[in-house]
Amino acid sequence: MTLEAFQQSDALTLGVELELQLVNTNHYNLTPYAPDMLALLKNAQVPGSIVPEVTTSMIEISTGICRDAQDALQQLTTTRDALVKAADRLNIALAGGGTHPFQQWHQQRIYDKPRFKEITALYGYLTKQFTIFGQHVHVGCPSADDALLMLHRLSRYIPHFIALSASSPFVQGQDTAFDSARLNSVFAFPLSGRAPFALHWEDFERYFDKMTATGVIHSMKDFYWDIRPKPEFGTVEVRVFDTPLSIERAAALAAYVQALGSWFLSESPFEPQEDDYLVYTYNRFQACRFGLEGTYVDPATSEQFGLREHILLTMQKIQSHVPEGSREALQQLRKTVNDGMNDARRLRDAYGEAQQLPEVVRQSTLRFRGTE
Amino acid sequence: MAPNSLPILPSPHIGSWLDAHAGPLMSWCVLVAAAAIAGHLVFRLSGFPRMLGYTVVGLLAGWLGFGDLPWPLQGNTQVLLQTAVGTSLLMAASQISLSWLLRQPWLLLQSLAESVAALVLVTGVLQLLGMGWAVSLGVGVVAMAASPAVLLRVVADLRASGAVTDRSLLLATLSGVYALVLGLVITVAWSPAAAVGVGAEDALASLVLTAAGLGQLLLSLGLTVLWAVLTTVALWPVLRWQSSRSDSTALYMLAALVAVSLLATRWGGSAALGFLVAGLLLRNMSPKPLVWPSAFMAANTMLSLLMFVLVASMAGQVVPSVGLVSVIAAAALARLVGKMGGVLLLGLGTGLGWQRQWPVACAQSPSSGLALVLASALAMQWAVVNTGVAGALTAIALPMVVLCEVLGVLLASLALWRCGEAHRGIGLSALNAKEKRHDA
Repeated sequence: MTLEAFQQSDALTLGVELELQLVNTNHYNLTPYAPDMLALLKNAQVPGSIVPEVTTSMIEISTGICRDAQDALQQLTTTRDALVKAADRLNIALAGGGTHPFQQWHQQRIYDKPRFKEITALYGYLTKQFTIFGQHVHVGCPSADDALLMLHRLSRYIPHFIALSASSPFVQGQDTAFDSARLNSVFAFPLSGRAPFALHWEDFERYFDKMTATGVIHSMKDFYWDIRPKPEFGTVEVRVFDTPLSIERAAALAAYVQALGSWFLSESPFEPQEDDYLVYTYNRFQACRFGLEGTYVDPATSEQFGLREHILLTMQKIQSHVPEGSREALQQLRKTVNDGMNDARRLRDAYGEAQQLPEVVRQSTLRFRGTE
Repeated sequence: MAPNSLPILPSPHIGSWLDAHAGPLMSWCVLVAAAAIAGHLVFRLSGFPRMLGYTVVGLLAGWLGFGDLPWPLQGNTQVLLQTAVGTSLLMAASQISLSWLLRQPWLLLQSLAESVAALVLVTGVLQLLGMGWAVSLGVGVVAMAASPAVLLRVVADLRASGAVTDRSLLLATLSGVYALVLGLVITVAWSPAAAVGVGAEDALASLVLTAAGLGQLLLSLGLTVLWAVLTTVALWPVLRWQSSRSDSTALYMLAALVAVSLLATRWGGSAALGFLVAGLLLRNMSPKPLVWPSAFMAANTMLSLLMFVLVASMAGQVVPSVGLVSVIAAAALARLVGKMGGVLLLGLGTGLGWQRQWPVACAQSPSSGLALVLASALAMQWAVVNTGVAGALTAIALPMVVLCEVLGVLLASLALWRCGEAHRGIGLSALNAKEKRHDA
């Protein structure tokens, strides 16, 4: 199979995908209601799509093409409200968060769909351990080469994305001491990590052809990279975000990617280098482990920053590239960085108060439906 | 027939011999051990829930004369059964959100329809078979109740979860509410016509409303509310405490439930209904989730084992005859038709698709301890006035309960497997097919 051609898309348009948790309203554990939810939502009028995910306690929503944060939030609100209505009918609830705090992976069930069965056949128990919840942000690129340039430039900011969205401190009932433990599950997959360093589409095509010739992959979907090109949409897809607890934060994170992209396209502030990736895994670990309190090694200068400090510096740099409809969202995001308040901290604070993880999940469901 | 003696089949009387030589406690030790092993074997070899094994052992125990149990249930046996049934009802009711339920009128209608249909059909069929109003209505009320206890065990053994499972448990619990309330009304305020002699015609007596019974009914309802409040007050703090998962919490909860059962046995009112209402209060008085101690769940499992053995051993003592078997079969069939028809006819509008209503309907077919509690209460109250009615009610209701329990467990298990909500990787056949893997 050859790599499909990179489609045209309007530069800097956005698309947001959210993987969501379906939870019972009694014990707030994950509950396998995806088939019933999808049946109820079959004719729902929503801007994007609502589709199943790998296990039956998950559901994925996506927006259509968005101009800015405001547009994304409007679309997400419409879909969220439809989901909440259906969930209310079934007496379940939806929650954000990168992991469910106390679900047991072995209790999950694979959704009855050929692709998910194939993945299970290949990866064994890893598939059920993949009951984790991420946000993907697509950003439109004018051309295939621009997309690769965008991809490798955005790679420097992967720690930002992780720390800002981190919402998975608890796994299997334990505090992991990570702000984003979700990405540790992704690392178990052999085709995870970073994309190969190729700045021209022909080089990337050659790499793809070699990989398909080995029989290891069949399509772009088989790569679980942190950022990957999405030729059929004409976008680059950032995949490291934990699903935030609220759709407002999801829209703000998308706006941050968009503003970075706009900065790259209009100012070409730096040329990506293969050596950027020398500190990539270390920076990534720092963001996962310590969130906004992690350290950040600048790949170009090797200078060390506090991650929070580096995010605030970057926000300063891109301020003039933020479109009108995203200003408020990014202002809110900056405020949470100043306060050191990502969703992981919010979840830990909730646990500190309640001392019971089911109550933490209940509060997350209220936050997702916008009533907290 | 005296209220404390059922017709006994000619049997080897091994139980009586053991009782006489080693004491009743030793009999129960043997019985519980046998039930546990039989349950394990059933589960391991067939994949069906363990309670089928418990029931088989209970039936055998009844036939062999184990336990020397009084009927209607009295004393410690009654307290044990009330606690076992009540614990399951408490746990099942604590999963019902009243605010959600009130926003789902179709669901309430469906629940009422299946319960009333079972009541009307069973009563009607028995009336047509000439059993008299008192017996027909008595058995009808017993038939109304589905079994949250059975479903909780099926769900635990088959690791079932999902919309069908939750909906099934909800409908079963609601039918328990209707049956317990109606059972209380009929037991306390109504009475069969007094016996004129000792003969079959006494069993055809009709029901009469007694003036004294109305006052008694109000008292019983008041006492039931009191038991519900007491249970809630006792459990509320520990289920909300931050460290409520300890073993000592479970012990405290058990002690509180047994104490309330003892009070209800002594002073009146329905402990089972009280526990059920307590479950509703605990769930709905605060939005915060309840955290049940795992030791309490384990205790519930053991109490359920005793309950299933008890139900079957009581029925195992009834004399089967061709006439009786056909009456019991007709009543059980009428119950099945009523419950399944009610669920299926009013399934639309409840949020679950048509194909998902079938397994929910099948899961309403089991009957167990709750039905035994109702039958025992009716037999106890009515035996004083008319032993013929009490005897006939017992002779039909007990085997019907066991028949529905066995068939119901099979139906519910198959339905949950079929709809994909129960785990298949259990049992020898599953092991041979390499299904006991994470991806089964």
